[in-house]
Amino acid sequence: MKKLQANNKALYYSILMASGFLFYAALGPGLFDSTGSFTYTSWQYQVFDILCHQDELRSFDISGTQMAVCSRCISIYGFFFFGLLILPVYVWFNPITQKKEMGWLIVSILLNLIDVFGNYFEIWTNTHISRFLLGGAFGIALALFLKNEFFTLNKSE
Amino acid sequence: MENEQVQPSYWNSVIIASLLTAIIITAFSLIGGYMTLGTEPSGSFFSSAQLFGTIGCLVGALGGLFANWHYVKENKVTYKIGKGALIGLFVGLVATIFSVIIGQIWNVLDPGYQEALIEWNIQNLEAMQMPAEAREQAIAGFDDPNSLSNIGLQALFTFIGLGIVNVISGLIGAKVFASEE
Repeated sequence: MKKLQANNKALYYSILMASGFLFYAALGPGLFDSTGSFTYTSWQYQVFDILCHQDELRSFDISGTQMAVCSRCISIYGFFFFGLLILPVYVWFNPITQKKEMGWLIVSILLNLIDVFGNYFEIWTNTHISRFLLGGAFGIALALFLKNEFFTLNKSE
Repeated sequence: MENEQVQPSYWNSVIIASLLTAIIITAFSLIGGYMTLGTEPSGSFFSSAQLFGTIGCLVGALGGLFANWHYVKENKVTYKIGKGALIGLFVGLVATIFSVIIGQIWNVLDPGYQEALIEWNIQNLEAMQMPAEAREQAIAGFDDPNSLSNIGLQALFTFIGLGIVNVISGLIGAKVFASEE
């Protein structure tokens, strides 16, 4: 019979809460305000001021208010949080090797770099969706990379 | 094997990584700021100068990773990822303190910089297509950046952002560099 064992519980819940907060803050002030509040002076915008370019043309909006981060960053934070949430289920079905997750992480970093530089040098133009998907791939790969640190699957008689 | 009792202090690595992080953040932010001042306010939130600042700060988010790498390299130790996360958190905290100090030193060297940046932002807001009331509210939000409460608030926001991302990069750093496997 298989039994899922949790390791570093306090750390897992701390990281889960911190990444959940980061995702919540990244959604910006429009989350509970349908009137279209001004993003620039909001606390959410200031928290991410040093972490994201916050370009309005490269960001999604909620209720007409720009999110506090760009479409790539919201996806990174969102999928990292989602990846941590589904980690127990993921470990249940993929208990052993971590080489696969390491490979995904490296590939997702490379894909994001290629996308950024391809756009920068005008080889192609990326879109909200392409940035969102690639950011998400990085976010979830980052979370799954930590799988054995938080959960292991034990087989008992 | 891990032995917390005999492991050397990680503060050297934390301080080196924090100092590097703070210098990169402040330098890129200042360069971005001066680039902004060299442009005409266009009514856009975003300028290419901001992108420059962000590149520096993305590098700054890797402080936790760097601190763990440095600690392992200098001391040939292995430890659990919780310690890596703690090292990352300290990097976020100390880098915030260093960046505030460096920022204040720069204010002494160029006292007109902050004022010019606020003036530029007000002109930028005036060029934006937005309701007058919202504009007035936003302009009123530009208080004196050198007041103690504003420095403290800005430091708190910086710490929240830098602290959390450096905890995550510290976790990854510990797993990659300090794993017992």
